[in-house]
Amino acid sequence: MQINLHQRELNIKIVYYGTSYSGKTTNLEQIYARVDPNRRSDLVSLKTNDDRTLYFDFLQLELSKISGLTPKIHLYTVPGQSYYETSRRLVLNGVDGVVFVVDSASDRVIDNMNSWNDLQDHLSFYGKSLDTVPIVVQFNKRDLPNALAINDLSSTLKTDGYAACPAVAVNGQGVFDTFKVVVSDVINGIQREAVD
Amino acid sequence: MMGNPYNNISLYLRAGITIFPSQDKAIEEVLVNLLERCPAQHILLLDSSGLLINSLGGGKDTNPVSLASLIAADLAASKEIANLTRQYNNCQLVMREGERTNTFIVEAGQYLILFVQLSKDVPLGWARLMINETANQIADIIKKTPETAEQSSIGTTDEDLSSQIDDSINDLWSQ
Repeated sequence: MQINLHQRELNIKIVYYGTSYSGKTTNLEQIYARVDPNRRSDLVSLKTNDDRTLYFDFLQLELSKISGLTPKIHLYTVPGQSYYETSRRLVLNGVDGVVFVVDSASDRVIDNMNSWNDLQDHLSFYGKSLDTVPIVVQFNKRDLPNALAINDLSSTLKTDGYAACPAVAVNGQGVFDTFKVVVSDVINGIQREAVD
Repeated sequence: MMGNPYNNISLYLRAGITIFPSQDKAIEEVLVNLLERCPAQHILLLDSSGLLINSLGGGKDTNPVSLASLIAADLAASKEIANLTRQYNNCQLVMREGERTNTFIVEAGQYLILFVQLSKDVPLGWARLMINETANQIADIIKKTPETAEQSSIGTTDEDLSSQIDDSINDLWSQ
């Protein structure tokens, strides 16, 4: 997070985290498609030849002023494949909020659990934890025939207590709600910190 | 994370960087000096998480915000490579030679990154000297406590803030 009091800017970094094919990039693509081009940057994607995320995707959004400050929201995704572990850690540097994207399919439970544990490990590398960083759990792919119930997924992953949003990111459903919750949590956290 | 020398400033962030008006002005002067003396074509200052702080020069088609995210990623990857190959130094500098321009990416203290693009006509030794000097100056500026409390606050109640955030995000989405 970065505040420039001269330029009256509040810069926030939010990372979409999760296992491979969970829909992290799709979330950013949907946001990119639905926001006024004057309020967003280009979508930067570092992809492999077979169109998988190599390092990260990036998109910046500019909100209208809040109490005289212009919030600029920097959205990143991480590569989901297990062998990109170091890249995921690097992208988490300076993170202010995380959207953990869960693939709701019944055959992806272990992958989701590994990714959640991976997130925990990487946050601790930066002296942070799942309790100190605002986290929103997005249960994506709710339209799949083999999607598990959210309650079952949540208790298996031990994500009870975190803000949760159901989504079908591929058609934009739940993408905005997730974004709204994570940004609100981060900005409210800043306000609490300022008051403290 | 920076230490907290600004106990009297209500908007100081425990987990981030706060740039005060006097620091912002001082940094701008140092960067303008580098731009003119080097001379450089494009200068970006950003923090290590990829958030842009300042951009000077550069073409109309260059998006400094996206560029900042890539520069931070580039340096982070270079540092990791240096770590893995046991070549790590505290102050990392990455130089890239192009056909018409060279670029330098260097750490400016622990939290900031300086990117400089300059013509190939500028001698490399001179460029390195100027860029390292500027990086040190920026690191010093950020370390120093502003003499007067350049105090600021979001200054609103929790209730107001929540509704302002809602309005601001709804406004973004509905456009």
